[in-house]
This record gives sequence, structure tokens and C-alpha cells, in this order.
Amino acid sequence: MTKDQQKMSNGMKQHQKHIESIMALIRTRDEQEFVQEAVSMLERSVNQPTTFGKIIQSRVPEHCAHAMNRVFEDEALKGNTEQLRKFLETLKKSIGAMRVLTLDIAFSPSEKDIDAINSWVVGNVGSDVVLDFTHDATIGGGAKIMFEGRYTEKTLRQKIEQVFEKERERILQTIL
Amino acid sequence: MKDTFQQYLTEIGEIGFVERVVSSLVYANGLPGVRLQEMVLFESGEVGRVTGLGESVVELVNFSRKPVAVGTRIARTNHLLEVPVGEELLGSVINPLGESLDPSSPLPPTKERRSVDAVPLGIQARLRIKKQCTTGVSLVDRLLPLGLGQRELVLGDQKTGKSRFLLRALFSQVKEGAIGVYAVIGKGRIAAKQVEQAIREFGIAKQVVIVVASADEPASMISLAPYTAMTVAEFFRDQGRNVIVVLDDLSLHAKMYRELALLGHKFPGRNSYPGDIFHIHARLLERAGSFTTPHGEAAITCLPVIETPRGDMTGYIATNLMSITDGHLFFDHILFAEGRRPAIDPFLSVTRVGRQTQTPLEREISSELLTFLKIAERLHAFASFGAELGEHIKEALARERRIMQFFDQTAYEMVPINVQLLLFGLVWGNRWRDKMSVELHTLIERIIKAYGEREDFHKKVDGIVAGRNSIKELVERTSNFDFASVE
Repeated sequence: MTKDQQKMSNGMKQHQKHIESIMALIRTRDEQEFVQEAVSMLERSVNQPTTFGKIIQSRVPEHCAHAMNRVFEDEALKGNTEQLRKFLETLKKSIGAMRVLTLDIAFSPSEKDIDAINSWVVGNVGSDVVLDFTHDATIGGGAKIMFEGRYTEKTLRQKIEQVFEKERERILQTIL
Repeated sequence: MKDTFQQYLTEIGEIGFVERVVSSLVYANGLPGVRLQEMVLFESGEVGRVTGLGESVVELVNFSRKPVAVGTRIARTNHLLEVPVGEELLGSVINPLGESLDPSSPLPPTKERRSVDAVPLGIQARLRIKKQCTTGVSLVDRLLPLGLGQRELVLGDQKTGKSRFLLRALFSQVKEGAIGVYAVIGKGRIAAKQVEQAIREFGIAKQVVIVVASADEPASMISLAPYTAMTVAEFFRDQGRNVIVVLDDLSLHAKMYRELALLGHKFPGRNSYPGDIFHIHARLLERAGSFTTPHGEAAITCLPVIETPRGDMTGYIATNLMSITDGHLFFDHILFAEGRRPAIDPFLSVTRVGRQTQTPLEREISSELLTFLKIAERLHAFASFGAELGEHIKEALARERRIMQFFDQTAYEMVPINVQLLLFGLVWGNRWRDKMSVELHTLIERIIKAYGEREDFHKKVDGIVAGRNSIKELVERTSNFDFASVE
């Protein structure tokens, strides 16, 4: 491998690392959309890299913005428009291809809840997964989990229904 | 439906989400274990079927008029698209999903459900076609006989009397104990209502199932209709009953199938039809035939219909179906305009297996009549030059006129087989030489009526026809037929 090829390979590895670090910070479907939109704007402003900071600040959620700013400070990207364009293109594609884990839950999750669920997902499933929360108060508690076409229900409603089904006679006797 | 959806979701543990909707076609992600032709349920209550599997996308057809929204959840059912079947269907008008179209009388739950896309029975379950399928139409029963289990294509222009013939054949078969299934495929609501009305007027509604997919239904529903009709027919066949199925009409079915194929970006072939159009019709019609069942021999006689624009019977779908079926009856718009009823052209029509069901006498009659009519047609061409005609030519043309009057069924619906033979004997033996046209019609009508109403006359006619093995014998027996006995 020549020195140039070596340099290029190292650069690509570095870019991949940057992309993964950004993806790991995207937790939900909404955040995914915000970041994707911001990357599209960055692509359009690729000839004015000085505006990047402003765009990121105004468009990207706070916890992602810091990491993204750091990425664009990378020497390999600075001043190399072609590299920067390629990087943004790959970043946009990677974010768009993130897998969605849908959760039907009975409450509106707080930031803390989202963080807790996301860290479990990143650790156990992968960093390329975003959470999509939908609210369904009828399930009582627990969650309906949907991922890559698989569906499983771990809800309080289901548990109660199972108990009622199994012990119908005993419950009826107790009530009557 | 919501509960059922949730049940399937929990039971099978797979989910899909609608990504894209194009008319009746739905593209979804997820459903990793789904199979081709599997039935799926949409969260909003609609039913769909899997028609294609891609790497990450599943192609479905939605049977509802209401389009599904992007993002709608989809559950697998792990079984193929099924319709309810049972005796309960008799007398009902259903849609291709097996639901009653009359909101005031929903169908009671049936014990059985069957997949609409069944594999046709193999050769071991099939029998030689050996019984005649009487249609009550003299021209067909005498010249172009059909067998029970035969697939006979009915083709012709619009308004040439096809539906009338189909209803007569249905009526005749139901009177003989068969079950009728009439599929109205892609026709207007008025046409569907007319069929329903006619079946009620014939008094056979309790032995007929009408499957309706009218023109305003989505293409997916229309293309499903013949399969549902055939599935219902198969149920009754498996009970040991003979069934007659009318598929009215398959040219519209082919058009709807083409619409779905083009929307799904399938490669268009001849006339833009997809490459498998022959296969789907052949597979459908292969489900008809004569079979051995646990309850004895039973047959599904199928009469698919094709509309020919301006009498052109060389169209793609028409020729496909001609090669799939065991013959065809061609309704000629010119003959119709000339006043012939039924307007079937006996020279352009074909029956491939019907003749093997006939007695030697019937075969002889058919052969003699066809030969005579062919000669008479040539004589017509000759006579049209205005040449002076000899006595024998005049006599032949007069006899042809009387034969055509014998075949004419403008006024009466059904002519029983023995009456057909008696009438033939009278015509062929020149017993009506001196009768005027109107007089003849009245007489034929009286004979048919008397045969149906008077037991003594019924026995008398049966006695004349029974045991005759040749035209000569039949003519001899009818030569002393007393017309006064009809009075």
C-alpha cells in the first residue's frame, strides 16, 4: 500500500468513526429527522463552512450539536470541500438507514427515560437504532415492541387479560 | 376486526408498516416471514393479500375501496386468503371475499373456509366426461352439445344474447339438480342486478350463489371474483353435487389483472398484459372438470365469457381462452341483427368433448344437421344471384327455414331433450311442410308446455323417443304424431 492509499484509508476510517459517534447520539425518530434536515442544509452550504456552526446550533438537538461541531473541526475535513461533500453524503445516507425500534407505551417518556432506553438499545442492539415512541394509554403499562418486522407485547393489559382468561371461574366466584 | 388484528399480531409476532400506496397496491416493510398469497390484515380493518416479495419490501393488494394510510400497521394471518363456504351460501349474493352484499341479510357463520387459490386436482381425481350437460337450448344441445365438466368459452359482442343463453343453461342445469354459481366480474351494478333478478324470476335462486364484483370495485376485488366462484363450486363438488359456473366475463378480469400488473411495474407483454396472463386463466379453468369425490362422481362445468369487439374473435385473451377451454360458442352480432335467437354461429363454434356424451341417435342428428345447414348456406349464396331455382333447392331452403324455426328460442326458455328430439323428428320428416311460421311457433310452444304440465303427454313423447337409434326410426315414429293431442 502506498503512502497516499494509507492516508486515504485512515481518513475513511476516521470518517466512519465520526459518523458512528453522531449516530450513537441520535436517540429518537424526531431527532433523526432534525439531524437529517440539518445535514441537508450543510450539504447546500458546503462552500461556506463558516456557517456550519450556526446551522448546527439552530437545527440540531443540543446533545448532538456539540459532537457534530467537534467532527467538523477535524483537520481532514477542513478546507477540503470534496472530502466534506462526500462525508456529508455518507452521513446523510447512514442516518436515513438507521433501523427503527417502535415502542407503544402508556406514558410520555421524559428525557431521562429516553436516555435510559436508548443506552440499553445502543449497548444491546446497536448504535444504528432509533426509537419511535407512540402513546397508547389502553395498554396500562409495559410496552408493545416492534423491530425489523418482529412484534412482541409485554403489557399490563395483556397480563391482566391472560389472568382473566385463565382464572375466569375463580374470579367470577369471588365476585359473585 | 381490531381484536382480530391484535390477536394475529400477538400470535404470529410479526408486524409490517405501509410505506407506499399505489391504487390497490400497497408496499410495506417488515413482515419478515410472510409468504406469497398470504392474507394480511390492516390495522384499519381492511384485508389484503401478498402478491410480491422484495428484499425489504412486501407488495400487497388491498381489497377495500378505502385506501390505507401510509404508516398503517399490518398483521400476518399465516394462512392463504380464504372465503367461507357452505350450504348457507345458497341463495345469497356475495362479494369476492364471501361477504353478503345484502346488509339486511348477513350470512350465517359457515363451518368451513377455503383458500381461494386452490391447486387444481390431479389426474387421478379426474374422470372422462361422459354425461351431457343439457342447456335447454336446442341449437346447442343438438349441434354443439356440452358435457358435464366441460369448459366451454362463450364469446361474442355486447348485446348478442350471451347472458340469456348463460341464464338458460344455468336454469336447465339447476332444474336437473346441479348447483349454479354465477360470477359477475367487472360489470355495472345494473347488469349484476339484472342477473340476480333473472335468477329469481326463474325460481332457482335457492340453488344458486351469485358472486358480484361490480365495475366500481377496486381492481383487486374484481380480479379475485372468478377464484371465489370456483372455490364455492369446489365446495359443492366435494359434496358430490354437479356445479355449473358462469364467469361473466374474463376479458374484464384480464383487464383488471393487467391494471394491477402495470401498477406493480411488471414487465408488459402483448397488448400490455403481463406474461403470466395465460397461466392464471389456465390455472383457474383447470379447476373445472369431471371428478371422483368421496360422495361419488361430480362435475364442475364452466362457462367463461369473453366479449369480442365487433365480432373479432382473434383477440389475445379470446384466443388464449379458446386454447385453454374445451370449445367455444360464438355469438354473432350479424346473426343477432338478422333475428336469430340464439345468435350462435354453428360453423364458427366448437365443442371438443361434448359429442362423446351423446347417444348414437343424437350424434347422427348433429352430424346430419350440420351437413344440411352447411349445404343450405351454400344454396343461399347461389340463390342470391337470382338464378331460377329448381324444386329441390326450393325444398331445401324451405326445410332450412323450418329447422331455424325449430332452433329459434325467442319465446321459450328451455326445451327438454326429448321434446328437442320429437321436434327434430317432425321437422326432418317434413310434418310441418304446410304450416305457417306463426302457426309453427304456437305449436312448438304448446308441445313444450304440454310436456311440462301433462303427465300423459310427457309419457307419450318419452315413448316416441325412447329406444330410437337412428334418424330413420325417429322420423318413422313421429310420422303419425297427432297434433291434436297437444290441444
